[in-house]
Amino acid sequence: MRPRQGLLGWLVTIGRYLAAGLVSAFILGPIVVIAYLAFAPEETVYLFPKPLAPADFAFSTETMSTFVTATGTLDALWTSIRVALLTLVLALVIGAPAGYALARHPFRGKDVYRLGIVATRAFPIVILAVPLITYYLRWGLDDTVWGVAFLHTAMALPTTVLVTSAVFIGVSEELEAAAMTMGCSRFGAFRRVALPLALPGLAASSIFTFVLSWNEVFGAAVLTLQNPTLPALVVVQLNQSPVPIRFAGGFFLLAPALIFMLIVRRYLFNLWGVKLK
Amino acid sequence: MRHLQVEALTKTYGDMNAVDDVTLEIEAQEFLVLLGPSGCGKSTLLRCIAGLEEIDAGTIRIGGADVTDRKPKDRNISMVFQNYAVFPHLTVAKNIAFGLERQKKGRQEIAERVRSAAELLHIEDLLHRQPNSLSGGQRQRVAVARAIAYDADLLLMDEPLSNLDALLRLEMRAELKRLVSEIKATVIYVTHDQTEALSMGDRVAVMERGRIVQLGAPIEIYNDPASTFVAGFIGNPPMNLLPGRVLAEGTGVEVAGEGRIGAVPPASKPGDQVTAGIRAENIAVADTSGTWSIPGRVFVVEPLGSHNIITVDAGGELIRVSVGADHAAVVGGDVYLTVPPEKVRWLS
Repeated sequence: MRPRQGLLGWLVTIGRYLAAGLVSAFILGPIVVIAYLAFAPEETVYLFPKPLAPADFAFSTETMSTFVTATGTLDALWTSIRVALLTLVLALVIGAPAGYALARHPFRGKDVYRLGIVATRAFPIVILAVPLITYYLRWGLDDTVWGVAFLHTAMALPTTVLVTSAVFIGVSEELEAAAMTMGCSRFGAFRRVALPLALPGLAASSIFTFVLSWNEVFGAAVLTLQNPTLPALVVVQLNQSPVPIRFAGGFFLLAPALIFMLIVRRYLFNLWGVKLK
Repeated sequence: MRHLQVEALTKTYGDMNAVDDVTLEIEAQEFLVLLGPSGCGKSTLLRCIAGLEEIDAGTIRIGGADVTDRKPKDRNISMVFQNYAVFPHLTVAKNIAFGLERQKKGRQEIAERVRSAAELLHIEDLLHRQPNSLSGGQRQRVAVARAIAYDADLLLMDEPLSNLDALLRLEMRAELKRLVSEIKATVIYVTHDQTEALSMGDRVAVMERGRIVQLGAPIEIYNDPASTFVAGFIGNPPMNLLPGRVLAEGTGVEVAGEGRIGAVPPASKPGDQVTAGIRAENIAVADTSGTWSIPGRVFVVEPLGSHNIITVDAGGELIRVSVGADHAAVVGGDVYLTVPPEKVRWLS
């Protein structure tokens, strides 16, 4: 019995690693290919089979620079940055107080409220798009940075509220009470004690909001015409672009998301109770 | 430091009275302990006095001024919390200076107060450390230093020692008591530990279900508990409580099966049901029976080094008796317990 059990154990272990490897490859594969071809000379993109060995790789920023200098790219980049920053500020200003209230004050129906917040994300934007653009046209918000930022704020708020509430739960109420017994008002205690301690978590939440806005395609494409954000531009224009430019565009969108993942990975895992060394 | 008056204070959560109509007065420089089991409302009462909880009825005066509607920062109190509440993002020195900076003290005075508070708590060497590099005991010292450095009329302590290990707790207990008398602070100290309460307080207020059931000097509370609750809560071991009946002759009480004690409650009639409270150290153990003795059998012997606690089974009642360390009791042996009449307390 014993050797067979050992063998079975081995098989399970191997299977587990194999599955993990497959999942990783499934996600990493396209990223690697996009990055690789974004920085390859134009000929390589059309070559088949492609020279995969690093020795054969010819590094070139040609397609990348063509994409970046193309009409509209830098404007769209600037629009994206403004939309993302605006979204970040709006989401934090509206969401963090709600998160704080959720963390500190017990109230009837709190769990239902929590669930309700998450449920709003289940509502498809596709259905919202037509009425939204109708109202935006009426209010003159269509094709503006503010208009896109408002939509992105609405999309980001549920996460912001839940993440910031988790952050504030991590800051002991006793600390604020202590500050209040030593000359601080309610708000003073928040500002001098809770806020500094929550700052790393709030930063992580903000970066999350930033990337959400940065990557959002559908709403931005529907709501803008002359002033698209970068993803909206890429989606609309790349269909008509040569293949190498598509790779460049893909990488341009991908990079910030990857950098974000590396930075906030630790904070996000912390929220779910997993500690990474 | 001036005194505190709490009048008819009530605090409710839902339909439960966490603090129920409590009236309390404290003299300047007094050390008052609020003692009770968890959930008795002692911490809530303290937080009400601090202004951290809104109260539903009653008034609170500190130093003669009505502070009932004032915010914590305007009550001139300082507080030590159970989990220390040392600010993790500030150095030890900044922690101690925190309240003083809010009080807009001069730089010189802040530095002076931080230094003297740190000296009193023996943490001068830690002033530039970050709290997360400190042990629990050191954090506790920082929390106390911060509270005494702050210029307040009243020092509130919420189970400050309960998170320390036993040995450290014993050490800090003595040190805190000495410190508080040295700086002449007026203190309200919350604890569930009756040893801590008896050893530290000038007066002890025992709380049960939101009410103060007895308030007095530690020795009064120990010797004359006002109720069976207090008797059962105070002392180690707690007081023996023996239900009994006044004998027909009216000269004594029959307890624990065939036991007889030679005392009766004042104004009692033969046949009355009464409860006798007797401290373990007030019971003597004899080998022979007398007119006023309680026969029993040794149930268990617990040697504690300085003395032994023997538990005697007397007609189904377990009676704890404190005897000398050299007392040779045999488990299962017959004994006769006697009690001096003046040591019996009558409880309802």
